[in-house]
Amino acid sequence: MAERSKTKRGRKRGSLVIVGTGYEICARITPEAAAKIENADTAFYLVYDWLDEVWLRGIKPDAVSLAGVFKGRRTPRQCCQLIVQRVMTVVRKGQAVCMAFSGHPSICVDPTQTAFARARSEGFPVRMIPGISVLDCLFADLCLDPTTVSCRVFDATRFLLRRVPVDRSSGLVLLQIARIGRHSYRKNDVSVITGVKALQDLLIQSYGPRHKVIHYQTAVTPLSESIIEELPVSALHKCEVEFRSTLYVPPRP
Amino acid sequence: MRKTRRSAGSLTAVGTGYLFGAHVTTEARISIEKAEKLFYVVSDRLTENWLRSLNPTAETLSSCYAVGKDRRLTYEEMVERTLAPVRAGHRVCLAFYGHPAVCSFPPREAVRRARREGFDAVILPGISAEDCLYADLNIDPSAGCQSFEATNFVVRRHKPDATAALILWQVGQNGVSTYLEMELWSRKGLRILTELLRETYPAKHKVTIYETNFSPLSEPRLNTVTLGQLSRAPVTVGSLLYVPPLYSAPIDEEMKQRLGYG
Repeated sequence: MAERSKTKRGRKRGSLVIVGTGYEICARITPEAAAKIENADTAFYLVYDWLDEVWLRGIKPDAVSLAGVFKGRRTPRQCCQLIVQRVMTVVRKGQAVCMAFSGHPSICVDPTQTAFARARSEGFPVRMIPGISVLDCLFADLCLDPTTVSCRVFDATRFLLRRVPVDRSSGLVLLQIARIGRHSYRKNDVSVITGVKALQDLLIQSYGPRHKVIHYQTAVTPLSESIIEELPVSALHKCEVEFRSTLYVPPRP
Repeated sequence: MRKTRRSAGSLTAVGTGYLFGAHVTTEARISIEKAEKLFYVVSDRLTENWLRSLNPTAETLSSCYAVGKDRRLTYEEMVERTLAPVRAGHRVCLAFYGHPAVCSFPPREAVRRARREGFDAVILPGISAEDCLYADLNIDPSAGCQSFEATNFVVRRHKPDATAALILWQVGQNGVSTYLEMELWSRKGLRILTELLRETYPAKHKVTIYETNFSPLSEPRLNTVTLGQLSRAPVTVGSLLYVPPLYSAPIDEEMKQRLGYG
C-alpha cells in the first residue's frame, strides 16, 4: 500500500521512500523494496544494468529513469541537485514517491542522502529501505566477517584526500577505486590510471609493495560472475579496474 | 585452487535479514526451497514458521544453545550438524538471520570446511543489521566507517579512528562467552566498553544505541545518549552502537593537487 496521509483539508500529503535494489535485481532485490517500487504513485530509478531496468519496468511500467540527468557536462553536484529537484517536485504535489537505486541506497549515492534530508526538513514522511550492498556481496564472496577482522570502509577518493590514520591491524575496503579524482566528468579529470597510481603509492607507503590486496568486482547480472583477483600492491597499476571495482586490503600481520 | 568436486553434496549459506517477510532475496528463497536439507537459526517465530512452510526438512540449530554453555562449543556443533548431510551427498542450505557472513561464525566456518573437503559451498549475501542501521540513520559508510564486534574491540584494546564512524556489534554481551537467556548479558561489560571508548571520545560525545525491528508492526529503536550515560542506558544483546566521528581528518594538499582538485 502506498505510504500516504492526508492533511487536515483532505489533500494528499506527499511522502518519499528510498530503496536499494541490490545488484542482479531479479535475484537480490528484497520483497520490501520491490513492493515500495510497485506501490508508489511515482517511482524514479537509477540502476547499473539494462537487465535490471527491464525487470524494474516489468513491475512498474511507468517508472522514470534518472539516467538522462547525467548527459551533457553537468558536474556530479549538479546532477545530484537536479535529481533531488525532480523528486521533490513530485513529493510536494502530494504523491507517494519512491527512489530506487542499485545496491544499498545510502552507500555512495549523494542524491538519496540529500533527498532524505530535504524531504525531512520540509516535513514529509521519509524512509530509507536497505538493499544488498557491494559490501554485503564482498563479505559473502570473500567469506569475510567485517566485525572479526574489523573493517574500515572508505570511498577511495575520500581516503586519499584526507590524511586518514593508518591502521594495519584492521581490514580496509576502498569503494569506487575507478572513480578516484573523477569529480567533474570533464576532460581535465585525472585518468583512471592516475588515480589508481596515487592509491598504489599510498598503500606502498603504509603496507609495503608485497602486501597482497584483493581487487573485487561484484557480479551485476545473472550472466556475469564476481571477479576476485589477488595481487601485490606493486602490481595494482596493472589491474583493469572499472566502475564496479572495489579494493580489499587485508590486515598486515 | 578449488579441489576437484568430491560428490553431489553442496552447501549454500543464506541470510534471512531481520524484518519478517521483507528481507529474503529471491535467490535465498530459491536455495531454501530447493534444499534437500535445511538448517536455520533465526530470531523470530514468524520467520521460523515461514521457513518450515517452504521446506518441510527445516531443522532449527538453536537447540545447540544451552544456558551456561560455551558458545564456541555451540558453534562447532552447528557446523558439524550442517556438514553431516553435505558429506552424505545432499544439497544443504543453512539459513541465518541477518547476513550469514557478518558477525556470524557457523555459516562461514561451515562453508570454509566444506570447501576444504572438496564440496561446492557458497555464501549468498543478506541484509545485515548494519544495512538497516545505515538506512534508518541515513548514514553513508563510504564517508569513513569501521565495524567491530564489541568483545573483539575490548580484548584488542583497539584505538578507533576518531575521524571515521564506529559501529560496535553485540555491545550487550561484551566479555560473555556463554549463552544466557537475558535481554542484556553484561552490564559490567558495557561499563568496560564505555571506559575504553572514553579514552578516545569525550563524555559528552553523542552515540546512538540501535536495534532493528523484526516486524512491520514495530519500529526500529534508536536511543541517542552521551557516552557518559551509556553504561546506564537500556541496551540488549541485539543492540548495535553507532559512534559518530569526533572530527574530520585534515586534507592532504599534495594529494589534492595530484588528483586535480587544485
